[in-house]
Amino acid sequence: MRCSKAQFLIELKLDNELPKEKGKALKLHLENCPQCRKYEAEARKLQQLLSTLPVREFPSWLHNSILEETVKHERKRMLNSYIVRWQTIPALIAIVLSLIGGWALGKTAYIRVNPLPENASVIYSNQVSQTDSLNLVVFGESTLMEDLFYQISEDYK
Amino acid sequence: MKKEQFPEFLKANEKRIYNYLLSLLGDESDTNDVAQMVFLSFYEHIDNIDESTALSYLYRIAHNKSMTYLKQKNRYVNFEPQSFEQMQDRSNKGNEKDYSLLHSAIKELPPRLASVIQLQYFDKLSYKEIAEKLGISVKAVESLLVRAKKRLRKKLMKDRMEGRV
Repeated sequence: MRCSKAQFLIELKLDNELPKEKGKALKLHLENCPQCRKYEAEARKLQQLLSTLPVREFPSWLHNSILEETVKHERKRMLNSYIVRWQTIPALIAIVLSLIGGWALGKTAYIRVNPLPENASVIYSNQVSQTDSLNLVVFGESTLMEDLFYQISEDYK
Repeated sequence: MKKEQFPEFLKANEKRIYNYLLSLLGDESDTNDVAQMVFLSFYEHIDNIDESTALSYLYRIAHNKSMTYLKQKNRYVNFEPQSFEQMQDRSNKGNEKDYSLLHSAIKELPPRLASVIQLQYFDKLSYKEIAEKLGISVKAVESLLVRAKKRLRKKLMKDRMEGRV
């Protein structure tokens, strides 16, 4: 048996966890190996030191304090989840309002730049009955075709 | 693990974690502070912790929190006169000195090795029981214990050679 193996078994022996069949082989090794006997003596000392190490009791006030803290933590967590839940409503309202506001602002600005003629509804109703392609280009007073013609006429001038 | 299991888990493990923290920190009031932090941190993540490895996880939290606490504490030097009164009397020779060395040796162990030592010597558990508690095999417990004791012995021998005993 190698010393490393024997030292491993010595630890098991001191902990009363050594299988009987290995006990004999270890005993034989120990009889012939002073180094492992020294190791056993040292291991036994450490064992004694560890077994007599004083064990302190857990303070009861600390136990209660931890439990109280967990209750507080749980309450805080619940409150946070409610806050998160309620925060979504004003956020949604703000999004909807900003969309409506943006649409209204855009519409007003567009009408100011391109004011509708007084008879816009008549023009539009007349044009609706015309071809689809014309309907497509007509949009209030300003049309793509008009812009194009305006640009060409300006170039000729 | 469920949150409802926490009080029972606390009751079962508070003493061993307290003693482990005491060996890491060496001071009772620090241990009280860190013990509270450890168990609260465990509680915060309890939903994600598997019951079989809960104790190993708790030891790891205890080790990490203690190291962070010591690092933060070492940044500030306390010059209050009370702190001098609390200092250990180095001239006092006896068993207590051996324990302080042993505590410092345990302090240097990684949490995995320290946990098996704690369970064996503080809780007097068998290898099989330790294996069940930590969710590992008996062979792994044997190996961890041998490694832990080897390290402890090495550290104690080193201290002895340096004349601290």
